[in-house]
Amino acid sequence: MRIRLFTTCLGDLFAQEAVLSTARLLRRLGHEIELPEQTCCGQPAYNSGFQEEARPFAAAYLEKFRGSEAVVAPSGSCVAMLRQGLAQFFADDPEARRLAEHTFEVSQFLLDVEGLRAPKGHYEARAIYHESCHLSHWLHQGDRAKELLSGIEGLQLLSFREPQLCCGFGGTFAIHFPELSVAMADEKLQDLDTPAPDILVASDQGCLMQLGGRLAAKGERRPEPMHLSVLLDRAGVGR
Amino acid sequence: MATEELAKNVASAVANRGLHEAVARSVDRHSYAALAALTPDLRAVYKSRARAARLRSVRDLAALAEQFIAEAERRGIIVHTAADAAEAVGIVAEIAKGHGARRIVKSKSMATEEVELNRHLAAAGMQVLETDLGEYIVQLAGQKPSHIVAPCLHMTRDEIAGLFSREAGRQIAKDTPSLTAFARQRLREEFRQADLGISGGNFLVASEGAVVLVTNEGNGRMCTTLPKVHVALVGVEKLVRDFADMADALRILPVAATGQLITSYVSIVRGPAQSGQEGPQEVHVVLMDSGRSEILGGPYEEVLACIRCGACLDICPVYRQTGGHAYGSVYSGPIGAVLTPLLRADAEAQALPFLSSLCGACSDVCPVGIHLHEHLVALRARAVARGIAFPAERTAFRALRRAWTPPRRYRLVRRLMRGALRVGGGVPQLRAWTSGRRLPAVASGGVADLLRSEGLIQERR
Repeated sequence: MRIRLFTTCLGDLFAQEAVLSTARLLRRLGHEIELPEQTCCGQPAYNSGFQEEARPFAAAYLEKFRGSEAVVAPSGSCVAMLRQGLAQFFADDPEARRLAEHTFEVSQFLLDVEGLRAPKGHYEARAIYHESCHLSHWLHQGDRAKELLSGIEGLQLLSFREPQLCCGFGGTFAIHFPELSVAMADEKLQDLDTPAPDILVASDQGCLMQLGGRLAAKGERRPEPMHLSVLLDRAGVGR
Repeated sequence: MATEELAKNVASAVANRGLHEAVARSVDRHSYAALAALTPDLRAVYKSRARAARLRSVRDLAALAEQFIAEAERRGIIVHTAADAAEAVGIVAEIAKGHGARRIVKSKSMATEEVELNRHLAAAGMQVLETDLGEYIVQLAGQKPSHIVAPCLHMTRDEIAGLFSREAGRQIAKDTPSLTAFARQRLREEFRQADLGISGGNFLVASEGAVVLVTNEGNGRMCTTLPKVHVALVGVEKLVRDFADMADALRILPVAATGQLITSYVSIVRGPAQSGQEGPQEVHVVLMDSGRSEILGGPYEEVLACIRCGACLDICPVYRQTGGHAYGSVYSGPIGAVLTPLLRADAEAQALPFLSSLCGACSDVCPVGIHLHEHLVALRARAVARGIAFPAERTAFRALRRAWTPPRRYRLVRRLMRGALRVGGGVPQLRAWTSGRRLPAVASGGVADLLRSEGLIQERR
């Protein structure tokens, strides 16, 4: 398949390893990757109530990614935004509707389009998977991404007691209500087993920044925040 | 500014960790019980049927109101219509005065909370006693309910025992039997003495002219049968076509609220007592609009389908941290953050949709499938259009749009970002992040270069 990669601004600015790993995985699975000119999905403005400021971002995506066979992004949150923006701002454009349906978060693509089930790999770690809310509730994927981890040898997959609890990021919410946002991160992190897992896996850089940033501020070395793509890449999935 | 006021209230609620513990314990109990009560398949069936029935009723509200009034009056109920809160309060006060009522017993009702009925009746010299255990407790504490279903869920057992001991003038032990025994004995006496009973209503059945109450303690039935006059104040959105259309919502309500498969009491009020029967001599229903019909026909119409189960509060990761009072509204949690700005025009109400991380768990758990997180997002845009936003954001997002669209500009500006973030430590927004979290460093070069140098990209021909 000819896949276009949407790196996301957080991926480009803060988490390039996640973008690189996503691309490596897709290449190993036999796909060609294109990288159209791109910018942010516009979610910060959109979810803060500035929809008119978000519209040009959706327009830019539609223009540059028009005609894509499939678009893959390492973030459920950005994909949810792109789908919403295309549907809302360009309701009359059939290509916008089609493009929205062909824009996927990476685990969503691997499960639903690629049809991967418990791919083989090897990675030694105690890992805990965080269900990112936008992937889980907005894209209705629940915790299905765990299927991608179940065939990895050496990986001990732990569970949160309250897997549905949000990490407290919420985009500008984290800045509007900093004490609340940090308290939510703390409650999430309190739910970790002792001793702490080696890695905290999620498919959203926002959650990883929030939880990783909180762990770093508290001087905790573990768990290390790791994007799902990075884990699959390091485990050698598709090799 | 309303947003800053809200942020301040939230910060002080969050500082109270005891509050969080009490709230989290209770909402988890509700959520787990609700989850265990039905299989996912069965839940989905009830959800889609209850949603369809509720929407059918909401979309036919005017006709159902007409039918309800005709049927209720035929059965001897006196029906009043109130356009707004002031009218609703005025009608209830007039009825009470007309009967010379001094002592009033009341069962739990969010509509009466919404119009602050107790405050108004007290100002008119009447004594109103809340008879739902939770409501009785918050009334003793001089507070407002903090949860739609469990009004005192923010309080600890010790606090409640303290309140009861003060009221009793003697020590009341903090075990449940002692606490409920005291409340029961205290309330029994009031039921016998009261001149008037006030209730809300969970459903208004148009085909029967009936008011349906869903309670667990039986106090609702006492309020509606012992005093010689009963007044029900009910929001007009509670109308349903007939008993069949109410069935699925009635089934799912206690499940979603507390995980009970059935509630303890379903009371159906169908008019005053016939001669020779016991019961109230006079029954009034106040059909209150108070902003409801303005929601009809618009993008938020489905919000009127809400059955006030509180499940969205219980699942909300924000509510469990703040409790209900931080919202400054009778309705709190996700439904409160959606409903309040639709019912109230003030700036404080318009700011409420920002109090959410938009996780979307509420939309999934809602037993009538209200798309709460989508409404939260839409109402934020409406707030911004009305000039209510967080400081400096209008400027910031305009600047971001100019800097980052079209895409080629993003690439150019990106190089400047690293330095900007490094010197930006004094910007309040950045400080808000770094006060409890570390910010990762901005990568020096764009990821596009790395992707290309690794040979991962197929260039377009």
